Amino acid sequence: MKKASICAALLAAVLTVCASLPAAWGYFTTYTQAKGGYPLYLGQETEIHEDFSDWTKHVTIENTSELSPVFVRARGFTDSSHSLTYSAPEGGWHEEEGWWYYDTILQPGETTKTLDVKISFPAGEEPEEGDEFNVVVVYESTLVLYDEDGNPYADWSNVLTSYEEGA
Amino acid sequence: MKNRRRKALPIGTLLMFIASAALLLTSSIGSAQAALTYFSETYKSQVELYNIGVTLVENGQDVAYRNYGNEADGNWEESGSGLLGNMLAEGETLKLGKAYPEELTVRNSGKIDEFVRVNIYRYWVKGEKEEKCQELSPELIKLERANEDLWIEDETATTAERLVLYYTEPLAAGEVALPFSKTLTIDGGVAKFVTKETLQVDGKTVTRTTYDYNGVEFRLEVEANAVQTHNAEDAIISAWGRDVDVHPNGKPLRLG
Repeated sequence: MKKASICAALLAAVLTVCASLPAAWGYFTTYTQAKGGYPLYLGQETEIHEDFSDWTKHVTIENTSELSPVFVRARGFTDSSHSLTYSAPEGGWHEEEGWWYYDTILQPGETTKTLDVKISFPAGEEPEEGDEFNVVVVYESTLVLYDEDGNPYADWSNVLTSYEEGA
Repeated sequence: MKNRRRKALPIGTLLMFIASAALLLTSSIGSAQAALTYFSETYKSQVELYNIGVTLVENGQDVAYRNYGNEADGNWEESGSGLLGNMLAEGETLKLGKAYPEELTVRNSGKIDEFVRVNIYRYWVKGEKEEKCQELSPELIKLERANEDLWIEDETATTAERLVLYYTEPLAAGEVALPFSKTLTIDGGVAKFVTKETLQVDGKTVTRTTYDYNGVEFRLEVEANAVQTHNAEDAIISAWGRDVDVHPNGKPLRLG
């Protein structure tokens, strides 16, 4: 009977506690979600095409990538006894601080107009076949970036490809 | 044979049992009384509104919604078409640095007033399995905010990837909140991560630079939550786990 008393007392305590519990509430809620995104195509490739005649390099640059438009520029270096003369017989290039910049963005598959780089000799010096000259021409390309209004610009501190060719 | 005398229950135990039974009975009666008023005709028409719904709107177009039905049976309608579907024209590639229009907002597509909040996630993924690219900062995915006085930021929940915004005003049925974003820009800084190598190719010295993150994809993910305005403070702490202060008479919601 002692066990029965204890059980009854416990049951009473449990019932008393349960009776004081607050009622449970549910609330109306809902949610929805969506996501999206795009890949970045940052790869780019350019090919240099050169012809040489009359002490002049005739240069064109082709954008061989499939998706990335680029800006391109070029300049030459030679020793102090010679000088380089640039010209663009078909236009499309302009000079700025020693570099020659292609005026427009080079779209995938496009080729620049010709840039001629001519070696000039000092007065009285006539070059002969077999003579060697140290001329380095550097070609660079960089990805086209845009400002918030969608206007393109080049960041030449981040050059993708740079070619150097000696002659 | 000995007659066994039945022992009576101790008087204390008996009294306690009677007391607990009385308490239980009294509490039941109280519930029954609430039930009687709950089911009175006037009150019944109010509690039959189970339609809570929320729709995510992008540049004026519905992109995702979830609306509960007329019956309190837990069924709902939902749909979604994904974000940024019209961001680029066909054949167009993403332009780094350009600010693309991205006006995101929320509409109350249910029939009861509600408070809303949005969870905005920005991150990078790579590969077929879309693994998260942890080393690339989500800050390069710039979502320009709008109406910051109405969409307040929960700074306790903000991380590098996640931004949580609460709309301070309740939305009536059918009402559209003011947008919480204006534009989306992918920062050109992602193109600064490069690897350079110098090669000799056909007599030429070639310095080739490879973009480290060529081919990675950015992701913008938005989740819109809605909760009833009735007992809003309790509802929000229960549903969203966030302490808020909601004052009557149209005063704005404040984060606690």
